[in-house]
Parts: sequence; structure tokens; C-alpha cells
Amino acid sequence: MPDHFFFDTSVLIAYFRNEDIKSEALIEDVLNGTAIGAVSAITVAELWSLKDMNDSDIQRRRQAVIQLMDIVPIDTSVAQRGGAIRRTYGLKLPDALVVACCQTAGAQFFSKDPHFQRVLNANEIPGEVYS
Amino acid sequence: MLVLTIQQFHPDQPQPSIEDGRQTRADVSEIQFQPERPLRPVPGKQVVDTRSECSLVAWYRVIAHRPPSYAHVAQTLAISNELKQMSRDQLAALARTAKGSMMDSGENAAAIVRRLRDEWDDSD
Repeated sequence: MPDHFFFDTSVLIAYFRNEDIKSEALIEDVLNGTAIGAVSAITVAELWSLKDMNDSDIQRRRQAVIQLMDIVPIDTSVAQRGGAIRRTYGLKLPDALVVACCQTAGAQFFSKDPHFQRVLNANEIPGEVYS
Repeated sequence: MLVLTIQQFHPDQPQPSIEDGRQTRADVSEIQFQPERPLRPVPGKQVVDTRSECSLVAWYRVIAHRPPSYAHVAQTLAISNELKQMSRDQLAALARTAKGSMMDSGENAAAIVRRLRDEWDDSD
């Protein structure tokens, strides 16, 4: 069984910035088929909001990364759970929706954002925050 | 079985031609208002989005109404169609070229995402 990873937006952006070895290794596991990757629809919106996505060549390359992953949509169930997570942990709404999407995916969570540490500490989702 | 296929789509064209499977061509707005009709992908044909009926209908809605963001939608659609023709290995090779595609703005990834989310939801 391949590993099942769920990436917060920060991991994708770190890969695009060539920021660290860990992000590169995680994404490469998905690209070479060793792991199954998933992201939230929130992450897709955030990536598409970056100004350099106006460049069709850049978009084409990044879209290829996303196309090799599952995209977890924000449906009613995810929205309700995201609201509850926000209420419980005081996360910002996009953070809470990302956590809810990860629960739906049933995958191991990865982020570079320390804001997620509290939901990991509470065992809401399995995963890791790294720098 | 109803088949929806975009033929010869190009962002510069005023409207993509659409094949209905039963009809030779169908108007975009006609499809837009019939989301209850079952949509199924056909092997070997170029389908906009095979993942869900909703997303397919949403694409048509945006294309039909052509809001100010249409150019961006058209760009995404054209790229999506191109990528769907690639093998997994080709897609992975292209995806690897995305590494390092973002210029250094002085912010790291976590800070970029935090800024995006703070702009979205600053109620805390």
C-alpha cells in the first residue's frame, strides 16, 4: 500500500520555491508514484491566486503537479466539520477547512505552518509540521 | 448515454463547440441549465473535467457568461485539456519542472500562506 499524504498549501509553495529538501522529497514521492497525494480545494484556490500564475508556462508546470494529486472538495460535510474545527481550536476558517479536508482524505498531514501544531497535538489528524 | 465533449477549444475563440453525443452540437446555455443530465467521460475523447458533473457544469457556466475572469478560466481549461492528453510519466516530468518556478520574494512558504489566509479571514 502506498503512503497517503495530504499537503497544506505551504508544502506546495515550498516546492515551487525550492525551499527545502523535505518538501521536495514529499512531492517527489507523489510524482514517482510511491505515495498518493491530496490537497484541499482551498489550496487550489490559493495557488491560483498567486500573481505569477498569469504566466501560462508557470501555470502549466504547477497544474501538472496538482493533476497528479486528489483534490478534496468543500462539500457540506467538510464545511460543517471545518466550522466545528474552527470553533474548537480557534483556527482561521481556511486552516480549519484544510484540516477537515485532510480528515476526509484519511491521509497523513504535512504543513510548514506552525498554526497547525495545536490540531496535531490534539490528535485531530495525524501528521507533521516541519520547517 | 449523454456525451459532452469540447472540440477544438481555444481561448481566443468566442465559444467552444460542444458535441452532445445525441445532437451534433449543443448550445452552451442549453447544457448549463440541465445539470441533472448524466455526464460520462468517453475513452479517447477530450473531456473538460471527468471528476464530477458539478464541476463540468460550472465550467460551462463560466464560459457561457464570460465574466472578467474568463481569460484565466480559459487558460486553465486549455492547459487542463493539454495535460489530460499526457501519460503519467510525461505529467510527472513536467511537474518536476515546477520546482523552483517561484521567484524569491523574501517571504518563505509558511509566511506566504499565512498572509493569504490572514487577508481572507482576519476575524481572529
